[in-house]
Amino acid sequence: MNFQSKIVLYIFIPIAFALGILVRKFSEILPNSTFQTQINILDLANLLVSLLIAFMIPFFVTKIIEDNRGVKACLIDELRDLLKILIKIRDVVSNAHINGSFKVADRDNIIYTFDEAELKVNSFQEQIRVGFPEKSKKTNNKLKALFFEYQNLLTSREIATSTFKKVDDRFNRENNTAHSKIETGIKTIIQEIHKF
Amino acid sequence: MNIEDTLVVAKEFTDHPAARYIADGDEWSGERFLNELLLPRFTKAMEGGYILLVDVDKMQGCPTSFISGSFGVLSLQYGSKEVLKHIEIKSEDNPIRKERIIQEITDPTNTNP
Repeated sequence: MNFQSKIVLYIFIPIAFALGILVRKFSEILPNSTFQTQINILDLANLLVSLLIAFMIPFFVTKIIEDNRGVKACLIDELRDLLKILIKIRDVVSNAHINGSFKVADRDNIIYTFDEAELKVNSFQEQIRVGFPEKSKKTNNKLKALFFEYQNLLTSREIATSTFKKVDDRFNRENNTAHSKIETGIKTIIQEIHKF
Repeated sequence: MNIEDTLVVAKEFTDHPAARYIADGDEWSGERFLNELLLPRFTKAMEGGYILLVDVDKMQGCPTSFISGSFGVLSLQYGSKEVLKHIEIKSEDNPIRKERIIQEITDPTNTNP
């Protein structure tokens, strides 16, 4: 039994009974007071519906809102982790630009880190399919389009050849622009998730 | 059609593929993988009327250059329909990798033959 159920069972119900007994006792003490013994069925229905709503809100509605908030938080955490991984990738290229040379180890680092990023995208995809199935297809397609575009830039073109030994200003700018695009795209998705 | 052959890339070729073409200077290029393994096994599968399962699990990354140099070129040669009819991709560790390969086969835009 959860905490809320215990509060209802051990505190509210006994208090309700105690109040009922007290009201009866007062009615005996005050002799001129009388109780209406006939019950209006609509008043009774009104009372029962009010009680039902009063109990439903903490048990069900609050639970739905909090579960929803929890799911969104998980999804946003995955995207924030993805952003951190993408920054690592961007920085490999930026640092090579600063250092004046691009080594095989840098290329491998980019490939392996993209692998790590793919796992994060996978995780996000699976979670949103469970959490918000009706929104998942559109959101996943948007995320993948952004991700593949950045991945293709850094694992497909000239950077993938062994003759690529230096990151020039043009490529560094391209990398920064592409990274900015995916970063903005992911942050936009985060905003959209808040509104789900 | 059934799967009658399995090509495990990490075991039979490399677990760290890189470049697109042999001329790019990397030992584990997509072109080399295509010439030595993928193309002969795919051709056999086509002629034998069965499916070749390509297992891309346990690889330390799978760059677009490798995918386009192998699967992309294969798709340009035989058409995406024929390739997808006889090749199935297995990537249980990383489903996104499978999606990328299928996307490249379906639309080999990253490939310059």
